[in-house]
This record gives sequence, C-alpha cells and structure tokens, in this order.
Amino acid sequence: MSVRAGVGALGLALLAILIVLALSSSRRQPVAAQPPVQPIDFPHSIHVQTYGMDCQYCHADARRSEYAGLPSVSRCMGCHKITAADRPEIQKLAGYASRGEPIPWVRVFQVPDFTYFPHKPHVRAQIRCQTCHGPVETMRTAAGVTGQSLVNDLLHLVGVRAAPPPLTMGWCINCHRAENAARGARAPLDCVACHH
Amino acid sequence: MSTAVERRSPTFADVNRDVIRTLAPPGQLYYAWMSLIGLLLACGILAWTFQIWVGMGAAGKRTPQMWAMYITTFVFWIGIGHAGTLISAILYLFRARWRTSIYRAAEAMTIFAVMTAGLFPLIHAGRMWYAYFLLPYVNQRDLWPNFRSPLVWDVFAISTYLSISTVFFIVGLIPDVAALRDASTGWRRRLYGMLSLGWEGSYEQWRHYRRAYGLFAALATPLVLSVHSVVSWDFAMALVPGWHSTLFAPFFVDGAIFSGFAMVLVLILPMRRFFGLDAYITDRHLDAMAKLVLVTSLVLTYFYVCEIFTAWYSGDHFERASLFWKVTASYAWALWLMYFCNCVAPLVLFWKRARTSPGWLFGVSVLILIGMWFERFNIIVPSLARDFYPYTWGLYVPSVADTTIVVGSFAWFFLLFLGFIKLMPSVSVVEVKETIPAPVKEGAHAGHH
Amino acid sequence: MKRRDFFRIVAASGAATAAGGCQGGVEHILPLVVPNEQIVPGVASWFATVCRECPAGCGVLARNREGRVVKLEGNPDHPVNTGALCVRGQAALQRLYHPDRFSGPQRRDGAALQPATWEDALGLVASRIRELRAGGRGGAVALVTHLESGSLAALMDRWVQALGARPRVTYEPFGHEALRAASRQVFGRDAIPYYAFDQAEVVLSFGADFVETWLSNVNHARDFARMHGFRGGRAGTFIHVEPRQSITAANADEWIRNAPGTEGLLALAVLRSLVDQGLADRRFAEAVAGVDVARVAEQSGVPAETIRHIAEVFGHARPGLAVGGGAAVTGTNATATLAAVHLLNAAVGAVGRTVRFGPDSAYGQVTPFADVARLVEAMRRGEIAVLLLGPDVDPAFTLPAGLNFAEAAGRVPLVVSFTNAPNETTRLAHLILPATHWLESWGDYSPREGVLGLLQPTMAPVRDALPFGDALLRVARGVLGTEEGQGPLPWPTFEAYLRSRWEPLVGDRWGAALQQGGVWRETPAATVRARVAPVDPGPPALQGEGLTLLPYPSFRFYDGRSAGASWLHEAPDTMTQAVWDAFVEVPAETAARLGIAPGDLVRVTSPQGAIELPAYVSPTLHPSAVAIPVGHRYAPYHVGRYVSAPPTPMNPVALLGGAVDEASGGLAYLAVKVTLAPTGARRPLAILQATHDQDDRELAQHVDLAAAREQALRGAREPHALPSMYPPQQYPGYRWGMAIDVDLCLGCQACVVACQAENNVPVVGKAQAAYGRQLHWLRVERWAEGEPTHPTNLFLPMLCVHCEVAPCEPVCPVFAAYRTEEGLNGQVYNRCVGTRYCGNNCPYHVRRFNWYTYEWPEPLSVQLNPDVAVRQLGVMEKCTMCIQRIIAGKDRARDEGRPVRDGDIMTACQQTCPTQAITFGNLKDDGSEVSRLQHSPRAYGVLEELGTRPSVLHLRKVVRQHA
Repeated sequence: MSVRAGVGALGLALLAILIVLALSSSRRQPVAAQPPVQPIDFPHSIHVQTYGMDCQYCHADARRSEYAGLPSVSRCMGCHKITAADRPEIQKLAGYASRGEPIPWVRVFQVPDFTYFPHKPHVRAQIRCQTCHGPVETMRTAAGVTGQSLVNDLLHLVGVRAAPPPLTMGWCINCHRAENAARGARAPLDCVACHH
Repeated sequence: MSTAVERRSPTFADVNRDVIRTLAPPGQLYYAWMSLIGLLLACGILAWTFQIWVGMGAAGKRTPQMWAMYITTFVFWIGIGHAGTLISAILYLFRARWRTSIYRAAEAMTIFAVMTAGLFPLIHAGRMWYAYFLLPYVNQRDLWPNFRSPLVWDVFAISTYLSISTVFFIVGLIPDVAALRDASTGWRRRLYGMLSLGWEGSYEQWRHYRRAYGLFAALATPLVLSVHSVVSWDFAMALVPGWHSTLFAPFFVDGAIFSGFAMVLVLILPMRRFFGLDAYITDRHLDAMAKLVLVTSLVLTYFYVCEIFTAWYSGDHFERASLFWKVTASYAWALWLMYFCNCVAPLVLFWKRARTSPGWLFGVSVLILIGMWFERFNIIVPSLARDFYPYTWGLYVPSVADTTIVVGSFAWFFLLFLGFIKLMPSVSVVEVKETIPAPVKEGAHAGHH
Repeated sequence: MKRRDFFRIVAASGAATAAGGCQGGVEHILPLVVPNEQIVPGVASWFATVCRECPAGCGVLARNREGRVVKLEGNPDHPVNTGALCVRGQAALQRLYHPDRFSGPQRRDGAALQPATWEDALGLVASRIRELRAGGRGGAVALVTHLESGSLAALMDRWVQALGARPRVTYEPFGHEALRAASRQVFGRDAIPYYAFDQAEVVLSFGADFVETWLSNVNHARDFARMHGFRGGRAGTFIHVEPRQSITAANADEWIRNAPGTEGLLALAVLRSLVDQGLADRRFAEAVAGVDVARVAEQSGVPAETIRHIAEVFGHARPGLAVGGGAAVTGTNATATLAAVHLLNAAVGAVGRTVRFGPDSAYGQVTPFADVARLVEAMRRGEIAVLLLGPDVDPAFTLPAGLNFAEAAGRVPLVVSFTNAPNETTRLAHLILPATHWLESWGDYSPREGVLGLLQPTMAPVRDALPFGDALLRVARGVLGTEEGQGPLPWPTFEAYLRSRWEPLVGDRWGAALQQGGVWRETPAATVRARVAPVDPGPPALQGEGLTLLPYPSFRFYDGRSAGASWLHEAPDTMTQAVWDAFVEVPAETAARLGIAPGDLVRVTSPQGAIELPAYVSPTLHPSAVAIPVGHRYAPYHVGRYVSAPPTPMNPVALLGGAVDEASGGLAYLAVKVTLAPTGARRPLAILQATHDQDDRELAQHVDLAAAREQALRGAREPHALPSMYPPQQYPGYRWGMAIDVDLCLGCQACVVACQAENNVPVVGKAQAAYGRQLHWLRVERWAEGEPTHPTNLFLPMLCVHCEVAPCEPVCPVFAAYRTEEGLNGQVYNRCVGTRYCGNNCPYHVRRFNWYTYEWPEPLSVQLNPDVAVRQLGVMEKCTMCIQRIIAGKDRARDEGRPVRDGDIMTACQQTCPTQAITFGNLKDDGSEVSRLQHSPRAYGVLEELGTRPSVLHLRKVVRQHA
C-alpha cells in the first residue's frame, strides 16, 4: 500500500544518511588521516624519540612569532653535513642545499584564513605542542585534519565526535576556558582576539 | 437550510462533477500563462545567480539603504500569507458558512505566499551560503544564534507558520483527494492515493477528522496574529526614525489581512469565471469578502493617521524631519500612491454594486496589492534615506537584477498556484456539500422528516 | 587572498613554488634556504628613512613584514614631522607597489616601448655623451631633477663638472622663488627662513596654504596646532587672507576673502595701520608712506575697518607671524607681495623669533623657473642633445602650456627619463631607466639647515630598477672610460659615495644614524636687519579676459607626482568631499549667470588653451575668480578600473602661458583670466557628503572661546548617561576608548589614508563611491555653519564610536557584531551572514558592506597588512580601533610582565595625525590622557541623546568670534 511505501522510503533515506555520516567520520581520526607525500621523507619520530630533539630546535620561531616556522635548509644541513650523509633522503636534502632551493614541504596544519593563531602566546603559556598538533613524536610523517565545516557540525549532531585534537573553534574555546579556570591563565575569549 | 443559495442549489452530484471538471486537462490559455510565468521565473533565477556570483552590489542597495526591495517584497508576501489561515481557521471556528467554497484556494495561496516570502531572506543575505548560522543547532563552534535579534524571531515565526498551515492544508484535503482518487486513474490515482492516507470515509475516520481539523484550526488561529507582529518587529525594534514605533504590530497585521483578502479576490475571481464556479462562489461570498476588505482598509487608514500624528506629536526632530521629507520629497509619489490605493480606492466598496461586481472588485484588489507593496517600500526605503546622519543621506535606485528577482518571485507564486488548481480540488467538495440540502430519494414527499 | 602566511608571500615573491590544486588544493610552504638575520617571519622590523613625496623631507619609519614594506609611519625622532605624516606620505606605498611600474629599462621604438638591458641602455646614453664631448658639445647634455639637497646633489654637481655638461637644473613646480627673492630684497639674505608657528600668538597668513602644501605642511600643521589649539584656556589666533576658502582658510578664526592678487596691498595696508596705531617700529613708516588704506580697501574688497582690526590684533601679538604664499600670491607681483609680508614681520619684531633665518629651507636651492624656461628654449633651438630627467620629473605635465615642452622635447635627439612609472614625460622619452623608489634607495636629504635625514632601502626593489645615483655613476664611467676606484667619480655605487660623505660626519655611529633616521642639531637664528624701502605690489599682470584663474596645488597630489596612488584619489577633497575627478570651482553667482549646474562639464578657456572639467558650484569663492586644483591625473591602471578617462587633461597648467615674476624668476600661477562655457555634457562629481548642513542635529559642536575658558575653569565634565534599566557593563581588564578634538582637526585626510593602509580597506572607484559604497572606516566630514558665503567650518572625523549600548549588536542574528570584554564593538567577519541589519540600525552609518569582491591589482596586494583579514564578499566591516595593534601591544606588555601603559598602543589614525587631534587609550585608567580628555568640559558624544553611550567622544571646536 502506498502509505507504507512512503514511510519505507523515508526510513531508507534516513538510514543512508546515517551510514554516510558514519563512514565519513571514520576518515576524521587524525591517526587515520592520510599523511601527505612530502618531498623528503622526514621522520619526526626518529628526530624526537631517538635523538630527543626539542620541537623548537627546528620550529624555532614558535616562541617569538605568530608562526612556528620551518628550519632553513642550512639548519638541516648543520647536522646532516655529517650525520647520515649517505642516506638517499639526506642526499635529496643536500641537493636542495647545493641548488640553493627551498624544500617544497606540503602543508599539514592550517587554520582558516580568517583565524589568527599566534604560536607565541601559547608557547609563553607553556602549552605543549602536542596539545594541538597531536602526538607528532609518534608519527613518521606528521598528519592531521583541521578546520570546521557543515559536515563536521552534522557529525557532531549525530554524536560522531572527531578524535582530539579537532582544531575546531569549540575545542579552542573550551581549552581557553579550562586553562583560565584551572590556573588563572588570561587566555582571551573574545571572538576578535582570533578573528579580525 | 437557511443558507439556501439564490439559484437552484447544486446537488452533490453537481459538486463532484463541477469540482472534478476543474481538474480536466487545461486549454491553450492556461499553457500560454504558464509559459509566460515560466519565462519570468527563469529570468528571476538567472538574476539571482548573477547576484550570488558578483555580490550584493548587483542589487541597488547602498549606504544608507542596506535594505530595500527584497525586504519590501518579503514583508509583502508574508502579509499575503495571512488571509488563508484567517479564512480557514478563524472563520471556521466562528462557523462563517460563506468561507467553505473559498478557503481551499485561500489556504493554498497562504502556503505558496509563505514559500515565496521564505526565499527573500536568502536572496537578501550577503552570504546566503552561511544562512544556516541562523539555525540553533549543536555545532562544533559551540555557538548559538542571537535570540535577541528580530531576524532570529522571524526564522521561528515563519517556519512555524509554514509548517502549521501546510499540515492544516493537507489534513483539510484528505476527504477530497480520496474522492478524486476514486474518480481518477493512472499517476493521479497514485498521487491522490498517497495523500488520502487510506481514507475510506468511515464514521470513525470522519470523527477523528473533525476533531483533528478543529484542533489545527485552534492551533493556527494565534499564528495569524503572531507571525506578522514578529515581522513588524524587524522594524519596530530598530532605531530608524519611521520604524521605531509600538504601532507596528497591529498595523502590520491589519495590513496583512487587507492585502491577503485582496490577493484572494484576485485569484478567486478569474477561477470562478473560467471554471464556471458561480454556483459555489456566489455574489454573497464576494460581498462578504468585500466588506472585510473595506473594514480593514478603514482600520489601516486609521493607523496611517496615527503614524503621522505620533511622528508629529512626539516633537522628536528626527521623526519629524523624516516624516516631512517622506511626504514632500523624492519618494513622495510612492507615499501618495500608497494612500490612494489603500485608503481611497477601497471606499467604492461602500457601494453594493461594486461589492458584488467581479470587475470592480478585481480592479480594487489589484490597486490594493500595489498599494500594500508600496506601503512596505515606504516604510523601508524613504525612512532610511533620511535617518539620523545627514552625511550619508542618499537615494536608492533599483537595479536590473533586484527588479528582475522581485518580478521572478511573483512568477514563482503564480506558477505554484496555477499548478495547484489543476492538480487539487480548488473548491472543498466536502464542505460545499455540507452547505447544500441533503439529496432526497426519488418520489419521497417533501418534509417527510 | 591568503593572509598571514609568510611562506605563501615568499612564494609569491618569486621563490620557487609548486602549483597547488593538482592534489586537491595541496599548499606548499617554503622555508628560507639561508635564514635572514634581520627578518623573523611574523615579526615586523622597522627601517627609518626620509619621505620624498615632496621637498618637505619628513622622517619616515617603514614597517617591514617578511621582507615587504606594509605601512609607513612618521619618525617620532625626526625634527620636521615628529611622528606625523601627511596624506601623501601615507600613500607613498602605492607608488612603491605601482601596478604600472616599469620593469627594467625601456627603449622607445616608435609608439611602443621595448625592454632593454641595463648595459645597452646605459651604454647608449654614455656613447651619446661621449660623441658629444668628442665634438666639444658636452654642454649639450642637460640634467634635470627635483630638489635634492644631500649627497645626490653633490654627486650630480661632480657629475656635471666631470662630464662638462650644462649646469644641472633643480626643477620644482612650486619653487617659492619669490619668497627667496623677497628675503634677498628685504633682508639681503638669499634664503627661505624657517617659520616657527608654535612660537607665534597670532598667525596672519596671506594665502599661504600651510595646512596643505606650503613649504613643510606637516611641520607647520603640528606647530600651528600647538599655537592655535585650545589648551587650558590658552588659544592662539589665526587670520587668513585668500580669495578662495582653502582647507587652510577653513581653519582660520577669521577668513578674509580678498580680490585675487591684492594680498600685497593688504599687507602694506595692515603695516600702514600698524604704524598709524603706533604698534610698529616708526622707521617702517617710510615704506608705507604712499599707502592709502581706503584705496586698498576698495581695490581688495576688504573693508578698511577690517584691515585696522587685523592690524590691531596682529600688532598686539607677542609675537605675531605673517606668512605669504599659495596660488593667489604667485602672480607677477609675487616678490613685492612677499616683501611686504616680510616688512610686516620685521615691523612687529617677529624676525628672529617666529621668522628665523639660519635654519634655512632647502627650497632655497631650487632653480628659478625662468632658467627652466631658458632650458626649454635651448631645447627648442636644438642646443640640447641629451636631456636627462631625474626620478618623477614630469615637465610635460607640470610646465605651463605656454612653454610647449612636448614640442621642444621633440627637438632633442635623446630624452632619458628616470621615472619608474608611466607619466606624461615618459611618453616623450626615448629611453626610460626606471630608478628605484625612495623606499628602495640609499640617500640623504636635508630639508633645512641643521637637519640631515638619511634614506636607506627598506626592501628589495619591487620591479627591476637601478638607483638613480648608480645609473649616473655607470654612465659617467662609460663616458670617461674609467674603472671603478679611479677618475673623478671613483665610487662603485651611490651607496659607497653616500657612506664616504657620512664617514667624517658620524664616524662609527653610522648604525645609530641609520636607526635614528639621520642627524640633526639646533641651528641658531641669524640676526638680519630689514632694509626699509617702499615696495609696490601693484595688481598682477593678467592675460586674457573673464575670471581670474586660481590654480592651487592639490593637497592630495602636490604637483601631480603623487597622483599614481589610488588611495589619494579615493580620499575626498575635504572642502568639496569630492573623490577622483578634478573640478573647476565656479562662484555661485557666475554659475547662476551661465546656467552651470554642479557636475556640468565646463570648458575653461584661456589664451593658452582650454580644458574641460566638471563644475563644482562654490558659494564661498570670490566672484571674480575660478579655482582648479593642480596635479590631478590618472595612472593607466586607474582608467577603466576605477574611473572613466576624462575628456581632456585635468591639470590647469595647460591654461598658463608661463609668465614670470621678474624680480624672482618664479612662475606666475596667477597669470591668466579664463572664460567658462558649459559644453552641454555632464560628468557628475562623486561627492561623498550629501549635505554640509547639519540640520540642527549638532553632530559637530562648537563653543565660543569665552565659554570654553569659563568651563575650563569650572573643570571636569560629568559624563551624563541617560538612565538605564540594565546594570552597568563590567570590564574585567582594559576598556579602550578614544577622544577626538574637533578644535585641532584641520581636515588634512591623513588619518583616512593611514586607516586605509593599515586595515586593508579596498578602493572602490568613482561610480561606487558616488553611490554610497565607499569603504573608508574613517571619514573627515565638513560641516558648515553661518551664512553660506562665509561659513564657519567644523571638521568632524567620524568612525565607529564603539557605543557601549550599540544599536548594531542586538539586531545581529549571529553575534557577528558583539561587545568585547574590553569595550570594543567587535565585528567578526567570518561569522557575518550579511543581513545588513546592523548597517541600517547604526545611526552613524559607519558600517561598511562588501558589495563586491574587491581587487588589489598586482603588486598592490603585497602591501596588504598580514595582521588584518581581507574581508570577503558579502560581509560587514568597520573600524576595529586597530584591534591588531591592541593585541600586539598587550602581547608586548605581557612579554615584559606588565600592564599596558598609556601611549603603548596607538591607532593608525592617531599615529599619523599632524595635530594630534586623536587620542586612544584605556578609559579605566584615570591617569590616561584619553580619560582626561573625555572628562574635559568640551567632550560630547555624537548623537549621544540616542543613548548609545559612545566610547569615542569628540571635543567641541572653540570658535573665536573676531578673536
């Protein structure tokens, strides 16, 4: 009977939507996020875990600038003139250095254009890099998914929350609130602090 | 029954026949209309696309008229959307018999009008692709809309109104589409079948149906007053001289009913002509509606007087300057046109002949529609043209794009309505039947009961 | 437009970049290969240099982000402008990033220009000169530049000498030759003195537009504010004599409208009545023995009692200052006129106090116009074989039509221009050798004795260019066949020469000098004695029939060299509030007689020629005059994009014959009479202000001096707030606010352009501006009161006043407009849906909407401030009180673990204001300057009766009735 047909169709549609959301949600786990193919297969894990290097040794601008910054090619060569100079990846690096070319790294983390995210105050407030960037020290190639969208909102709506750190605004705000409550940090809650 | 109509009242069979006849395959004239409307609509859509592409600059808006024709037309259509519910709900509760043959068309008009109006907030928004920011839903930004903003109230008011009147409309349709289902074949049969929700006309179903209908009528009634009050607050809540007035809610509601009835007449009269429905939409109906139009017109006139008086009596420099400018300067023609259409023209309805003559009624109604569109225009554009700050005073000039879009919206409305009258019974079979004497068996003697 | 993305900017700047998009918008980020010590990505570095948009030589600090200069600010240490910058200085950036800038040398090939290599181009010049020298015609080489007073000038002298070229010409269209000649005549000193406005009690100006362009406008404006601004009951007086109500005239306490050319007579009449009233040194009587005040009164149309009144006020001043200049004073009688003014100063003992010889102006080194004219004659006679025109020298545009430069240049075999963007002269040039912009160059400039400013490159050249000095050196080497290190010009580069000259001056303190932006010392005023002799500033010789033409230098374009900046075209002319097109100011009477309506295209005809301009009907202009601003022209990239091509050139010099003031050799701008004829066509002006009449709304308020003094004694003003049902708003941290002193605002528009530069405000073009779609966050309004022919003008800077009870906030459906914790009225662009409700509900209409997607023609986009969002299509924007500066200021304070101090944070408008009319600060700190001002009895909130409680308060203008 036509009525049941209608109801059935409706039901099917809803089911389909839920399935789509579920599927798309699986792609949102940073661990599962596809790391991009970088020009040089740079292993964060080795540099941090094996050699215990500090993030800011290479990303040296984080403490004084809006940007964390990338190490200049010459800085990489500082160690790699000797260290592991024979490895193919390092030879790629040496190639860039000798040609005087910058390395075209593929960008991983990016907040939207309309968002002003300065690293400096966060470093000043002793926020660990991992808080936002995830366990980079365990990743070979850094990977992550950032940004808010209608899809994210719908996911949120059906309770499929992205695994931390989602780098969504609500998440930022909650952290600011928590920090202010916990240790009287003066993390701004004004919209225009980041959007201007 | 005391409501026996003048000429030989139609029998149940006539009703069925006549109503089903309205759904007969349309003639050339109908298609001619449809194609014209389709063309206009296409232009409208094109213009909108263009506007989204290049930005709001395509529309003639500027500082100080950040709002102009879109909001004007938005309010206009919301206003139109009032007569329907008024007729079907309030008049139903008051058991005004004469509503029966017109309420179906009026309800359809309501829904289509609100659907048209609903487009304009989107057309108007600078970034309509973010319109969903206005909906309160749990999101990852942990943000909510600003419930202090009249625009958010609008979202609720209009969506409520649309949903209630749609449900009301569909429920009202059930017995009729059931009748059509049995009389039709093919895809129509399947369509009516779905809409009739398995109606068999059993006693049980009739009982529930009545109860439900009454319930919805009761639900819809307050909306008639609330919706346009809320819309009026878009202006009343603002600071602009000429907007900031407690008068606006009743003023808008009355205006809405006024224009709504005018639109009903504009739609009903040709229908009655072309479908030969004189038997159902009789002069009595016209007379009743005309009287309502007349009354609302007089009330509106009163509000106009109040508006002017308060502006003057307030002694507020800005209000006075704004008023004086409106009445005398650049946009004065629009103002006086409005006064003529809304206050003077309807006065002919004091005259019985005019009230019952389709020609006169049609003419007056069209004037009223024009007048009411300009009422909204006069509230928005001239008030903004001369508000607080002389540095930015300026005149709004419509652009091709926004004019085309507004015209397109009319096309969209009529497209829906013309589609409707060929698809659905535009006269309620059931209720009309109620109003005519029950059929008696052959040879039965009069007054046997 | 990606912002705040250093790596992208580097990519854009030409470092190798991989295209995104191929892998679904993959974005590449490029680290530096070798770190640059001076630059930390994301942190601004500042470079001190000197502004060269006009000969005033103000100190500039250039804000460099990621190797790009994004903002200019005045150098607070520099004695000329002490931190302020004028509208032209602010807009200099747009000439640095001029979209039409040449890239590398261009060789004329018929009508077209062909790119050439530097070797070939310089080689060509050198070979030509070599040939000439071989033929003993070294004198056929002519070098023309704008005013240079430092190392470059010295180098050019050496160059000319070494090559045996014709003595170089220093060409300045507004050279003030007459002022110099007058000094020679009266004080026997061939110099232009320094005018200490701040030391004066009464300033009496005969046409000198010192707020706009005269000598050193920023310096004079700042000093004038010190002298004239109302401070604790004290306020100086300013009387201005001019046929036209210029911005300067509009700032006068008493504007006296005289018949054009009668300034000298008036000066003498004033002196006469000073002598008569015994207010002046008796010995000056002989100078004015023949002067009859009554006759002067009827000639000038200024009542005799007014003259006596002026004399009285001026005579009692301790001390006074009389200045003369401007268009109306550059007739054939200019020297006599200015001599009369000098006598006036001498007579009241102003010389040595407010008029100081010693710190003489560099203008004294300008080649008199007569010599420039002689050069053009020589060209016409074919005596010049190589004509070298220095950077921005544009004789084809700035020389009077009478000289017919174009035709003369046609007789020169090789015309070389060093200008780096197309102008009228580069169209004639055979060879274009684009010189680096001054922001890309080494150099030094001394605007006056004792001040030596130092220029340094603030960034790498935007397009392929060569420093002018280097080009000269290389040409010279080519000519002389010498190697680097030998010959008369041994220096490899101009930089090397500059350092060699500075070595003895600063020794090892070179770095410090660079940081400070130069070196300066106090120069004592020399004692001079006036030679008292009668002067006769009879009426100037005027050619032709009809109305006297007043061509006055535009405060936005000067002589036209700054006109490449679209910011300047979009910043309204304060008096008319017109943007883009130039206009002919027609007196109301004449307009009525000829049936000319505003916006009618009028043909202005002089004996020399005719130009067509839209009419601006002026109620204030003297009935016997018409006025046209000098310097309006469009860059190629303006036409079509922002404005349609004008029917004829807009520059009134096309109407001048080139008459000369014999005594000084200066060009007589006041030299022709013109006739007006409506062409029937229309070209409506884009005028931003709907009306100058406030319609009793008291937006700009004033108080008369006596009342102001009384109030000042009574003290602090109670901020009267309307009663509210809501609890007062709490501010946990700071509360930002502003105070704008209407009494100090001169209407110079510098703040408008500074704001535009700081906040990435787009340029919309003439049509959109005319239709109320301009995007300025800040505007300077002119409100006129009193009788239309002689109004009192109030300049009201209006920006978002950040209401405490803001009408825009409750109506926004999505909290895009909201109240911040620090008392700002925030606007969140990315939250805005564009309902524009706030725009309607803002009673000040300071909210701006992005009607379109606006473009920054390359490379102008490089100038965009990386700390400020570029707003998207369809969102509202408005003044943020430079939130990015507030954030930066708080960040700095936190680094030092202290709260923000008063004066730490300056908004862009405040920073550049020559008169310091704008004050920003924390309202919760009672000690802050802004709190003090907001409690001043003169403070009021615009439209505060609406209950908006503005955080930006204005201070009433103090009006002196006949001081």
